[in-house]
Amino acid sequence: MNDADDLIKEKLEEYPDEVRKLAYEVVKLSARGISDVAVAEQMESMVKRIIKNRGAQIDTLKA
Amino acid sequence: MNFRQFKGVQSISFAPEKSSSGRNVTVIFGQNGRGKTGIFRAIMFCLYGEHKLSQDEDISAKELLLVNTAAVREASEKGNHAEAYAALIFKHGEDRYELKRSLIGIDKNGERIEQVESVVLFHTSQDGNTSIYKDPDDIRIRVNEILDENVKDYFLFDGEKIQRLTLASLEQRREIARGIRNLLKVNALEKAIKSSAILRRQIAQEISKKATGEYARIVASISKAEENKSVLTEAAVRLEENISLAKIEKKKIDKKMEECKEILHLVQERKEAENRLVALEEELKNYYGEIKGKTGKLSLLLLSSTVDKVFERIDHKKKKGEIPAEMRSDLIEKILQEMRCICGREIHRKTEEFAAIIAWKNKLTDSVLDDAALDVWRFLSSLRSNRDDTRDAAEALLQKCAVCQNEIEKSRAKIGSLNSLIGGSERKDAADLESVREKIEQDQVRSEAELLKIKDQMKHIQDELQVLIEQRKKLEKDENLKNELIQRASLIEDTHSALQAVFDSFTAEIKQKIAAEANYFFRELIASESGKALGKIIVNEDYSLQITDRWNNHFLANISAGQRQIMSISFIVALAKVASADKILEMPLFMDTPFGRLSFEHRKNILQKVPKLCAQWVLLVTDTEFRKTEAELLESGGCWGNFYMLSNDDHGVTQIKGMTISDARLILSDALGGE
Repeated sequence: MNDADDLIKEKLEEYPDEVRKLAYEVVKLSARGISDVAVAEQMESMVKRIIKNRGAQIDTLKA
Repeated sequence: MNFRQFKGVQSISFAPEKSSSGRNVTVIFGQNGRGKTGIFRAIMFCLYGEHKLSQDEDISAKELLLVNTAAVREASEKGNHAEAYAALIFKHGEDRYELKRSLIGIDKNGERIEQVESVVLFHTSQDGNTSIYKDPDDIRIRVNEILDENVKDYFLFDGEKIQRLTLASLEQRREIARGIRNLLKVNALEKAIKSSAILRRQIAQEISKKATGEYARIVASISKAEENKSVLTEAAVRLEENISLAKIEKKKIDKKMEECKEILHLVQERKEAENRLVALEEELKNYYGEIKGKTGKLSLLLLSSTVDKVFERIDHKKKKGEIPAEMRSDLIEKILQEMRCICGREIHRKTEEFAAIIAWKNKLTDSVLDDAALDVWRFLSSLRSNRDDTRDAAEALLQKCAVCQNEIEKSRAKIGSLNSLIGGSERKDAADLESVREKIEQDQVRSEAELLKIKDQMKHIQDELQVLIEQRKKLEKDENLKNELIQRASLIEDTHSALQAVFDSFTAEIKQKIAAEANYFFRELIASESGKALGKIIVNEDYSLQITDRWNNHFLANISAGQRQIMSISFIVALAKVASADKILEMPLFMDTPFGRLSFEHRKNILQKVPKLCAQWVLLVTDTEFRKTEAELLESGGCWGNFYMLSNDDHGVTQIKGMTISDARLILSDALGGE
């Protein structure tokens, strides 16, 4: 962990959970040196997973 | 083993972390070319598979040979390849790691071929379990989690890197900015924003294909606005770059013009002298023309005494009535023929009258000759009467010619002297610099105006986008958010906005942090007297450095090489601290010949204070910069752990020899006088 990481996390604190986690994961991915398009593809998978989990949570609540 | 200059298996143990024994400094001592940088190179190769260091930017990977040449030659003679590896044992927290990266080298048809063979990582955790990793990508991820690859370039500083941080050209500053942005995850943030923008565009396209009515219209409008914003952003970046370049060019020209100022008046003087020379030459030409016109009369002046003699002779004959003759010859012929005088009286031979007539006849000259003589007399008479004027005029002309020629010589000499004062060709262009600068200024003003316009348009688009996004959110809410596509779009949009907002405030804060840390370290390391005139270090927009004087004026151009070095070291230590652990630097700090430009007090500060700022410090030094004095200073801090000397054996191969500190001090040269 370093100052830069801490600062990014600190600034993301004010955002909703899903946005905060997704944003931080995207930053970590981007730091690995892979292409923008590759990051976008992985981000898409993460987004789909989050939305799917949302749906599952709603169904659980309903049940 | 067999890595670079190091033939066979050789090893170095770095002094452990401060927390264990308090002695965290390792000195690696050797003359130039013995392999000091090679040790750092081995570590970088082992950790990251890197062949090149930042100092090798102009060298191709193919030219950089890692396998020991002697080992390759010996193996090639036997038809084999030589094996080489770099292995590193390190700790992170309570876990132990052993990393080994191997390669082979062979000489084939006069060409060296090297190839990385394998890499293996052993990870022994606190509980004693060992995991083995052989996949290069896996190993890369694990190593990066401990020691970020972005950090590595900033943990070896040498004289060149130190210079580049503060004397950088535009291209070098960009490169440094790139490295720093990488180190601080600024690049990562930017990339995250770009990637989320890509995804946002994709999903917007998907939605626009499926959406209907008002929602479709809004999605299409957002898409268009984003596209326009992107185009304008690119244009703005280009213009900012142009403006930045223009400012740099103007500064360069201003500097040249400062140098040329002193000779601008010389250039003007030379121009005036050249014009005068042309006028004088024209004047002289006119005088020569006048002289040419008077050649006839002037040449006769040369025969002045002859002119007088001839004139007097003719004049005498004229006075005597001989020229022209009192009587014409044809009349005398007629009288003799008719033997009758003009009065009518007869003339008889052997008389006095007849004798007188014959005497006349004898005295007579040709009338043509008489006329010519009279003409000559008249000409010479006029010449003689104007002789003084002619002489005076000729003398005046010649005088003028002489003066003119003298002035011409003086002008030429002056021009020659001005030419040597003015000097080389680029300084002769002093007069052109102003017009070049003016053109750059005009281009800059145009670019700035265009940039303002674009920023205005971007603000307008941003406002428009905000309204459209709000409208879309409202419609999405009304749609009950069951639509999965809309949910995805919404999450991506929110994440993209969050990343953008974080980026904007993050970059400003991180620069402030670096500047604060750099100023702290600077005050720790700068000599007290040396630092009095200096204010603070500033980190610019492009991450280049500036330092102020105590009156807050920009002062970078005026500091000494030693102060510049301290400034760079402070910046790098600050950068490493901000990018790395909280209080100390986790990555060992390597300094390659750092003392070259530093005065004694600066060296003292560095030797006594840097060990306290980092976990491990490795000093790569030559015999001229690490002597008994430096050794005593290091020893006095109680942080000196290990000493290694690199020397060549009889076969030109470098041998690493570990020595105790007391033995090391015996081989070091004495201090210079005055320290």
